[in-house]
Amino acid sequence: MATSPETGVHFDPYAHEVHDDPYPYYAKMREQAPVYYNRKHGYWLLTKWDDCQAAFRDFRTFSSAAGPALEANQDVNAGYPMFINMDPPQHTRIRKLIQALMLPQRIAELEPYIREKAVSLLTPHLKSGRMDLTQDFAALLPMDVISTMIHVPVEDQNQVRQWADDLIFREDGQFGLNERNITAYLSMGSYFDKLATELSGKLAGDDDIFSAILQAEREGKLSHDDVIGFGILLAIAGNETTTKLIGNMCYRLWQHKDQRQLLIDDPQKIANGVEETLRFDGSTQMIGRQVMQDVEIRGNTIKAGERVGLCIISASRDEGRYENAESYDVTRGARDHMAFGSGVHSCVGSALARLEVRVCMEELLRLIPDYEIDEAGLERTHNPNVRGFTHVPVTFTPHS
Amino acid sequence: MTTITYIEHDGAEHVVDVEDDMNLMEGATLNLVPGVEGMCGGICSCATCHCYISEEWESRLPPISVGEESMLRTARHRRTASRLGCQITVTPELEGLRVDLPPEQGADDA
Ligand code: HEM
Ligand code: FES
Repeated sequence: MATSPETGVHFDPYAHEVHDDPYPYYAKMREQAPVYYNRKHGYWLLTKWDDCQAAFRDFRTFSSAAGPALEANQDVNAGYPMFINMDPPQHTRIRKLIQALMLPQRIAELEPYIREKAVSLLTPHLKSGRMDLTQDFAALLPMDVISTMIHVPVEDQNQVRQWADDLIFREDGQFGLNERNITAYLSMGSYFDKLATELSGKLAGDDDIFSAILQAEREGKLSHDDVIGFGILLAIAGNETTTKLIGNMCYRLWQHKDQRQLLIDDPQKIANGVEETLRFDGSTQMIGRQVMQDVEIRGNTIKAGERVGLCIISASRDEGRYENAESYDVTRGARDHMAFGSGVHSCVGSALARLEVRVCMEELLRLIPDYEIDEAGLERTHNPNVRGFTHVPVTFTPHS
Repeated sequence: MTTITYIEHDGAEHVVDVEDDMNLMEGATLNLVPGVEGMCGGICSCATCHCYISEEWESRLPPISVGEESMLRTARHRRTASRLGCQITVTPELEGLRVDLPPEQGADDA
């Protein structure tokens, strides 16, 4: 059995050049090496929808215990416990503590707050006719919303967001974690340690995320370290990816102006436009798993102990699953894309993310429908997992 | 632990023990029962945990919420007995429950 297929395909998820446009690489892999092995770093990539779905489903063979990054994180279990790094049933028991708070009908209560926040972030820039859609808008809103859910005070939000950015940043070609990543992690740890201790006397009931977590601590279901891990996880997971999806959507609508016009003419379609952006240019590139027992996929044997990346942005463009997969069609509305992963670990914040991005785009297209991106000023984040822009400078017709 | 039987559309039966407080979707997916996908992880957003539950059990189940109903409306092969497994928490009261599964899982595109 061929364990490491020799194919002509070369792919380095750490190369900054790949981050600009990974899709042609993935298209080639789906065609020539759908189960791809990278010799240099010794990991596998699954690029087809069916293979990713099967792997997400079989959590016993494809374990999360060494984290969802592509690189196995040896320190995952030495740090604060987070349920994203656990396997069922322990994972499921902890996730359950907040799941009911994350249902779409529950999350819908936040819509007026999110809309007000979106408008208040856009309004100061309307007169000048220029702004940075990431720095001035998309980076601020998700942090604000998740902060209200986990009780991070306004004056600390920039600091927490900076740590979150530092934690995921990767230098060109960097494999594994560096000093900057680790320092950010430790700083966040002591921050949430302090916050949890402060709040544990004050919050009661289980009506919002942090209250529910602290309640579980009081009931002995979670340790203090679990609570800290929860805070860090939510601050990272609830933040970066949503910011990046808003940026990706602004970019794709600018690139495809006919699609933008469709949404301006009929804002009811924006929810489907969000869904299509998740499918066409999702903000999580791949999710890592550790193989626990030898498994055969399309004639390749992946050995116990090896790392596998489930390339969800590739799965979402699999022509075996979607007609005209490579075309951006805001009326498509397919919800079976893999932007939020799939199965037991599927994004617990997906309803919140969908709501935030929809409301942000509704207000953006209402207030500055004619934005033009200054392409030379676009900058990307560099990380094999997260995909999107750190800077999206735009100009538009000024008004008050 | 509560014993639940999942019945695939072709009649294949899977009898599993489900931990209390897990839901019917988790009961199936944590035991790798075929025919239940649970793609959204249980936050009522995918309809791939669609199942049928006979009338006699209805009174022991939580009523269909607004969110469950709006998701069920998109589910393929909807019937009057349709429920979303992720919205039904397993309790000892459900001991012996039989859950029928649809021919395929999934929602139609919006
Ligand atoms: C567009 C925005 C988002 C994207 C693309 C995204 C993507 C993902 C993906 C792919 C996973 C699966 C990880 C895995 O399988 O190992 C995940 C998990 C998770 N996400 Fe999101 N996410 C987004 C927004 C959010 C938000 C707003 C929150 C806030 C609460 C959040 C919280 C989480 C958590 C806590 C997990 C871990 C779930 C588990 O392990 O059971 N995410 N996300
Ligand atoms: S698991 Fe997605 S709706 Fe039940």
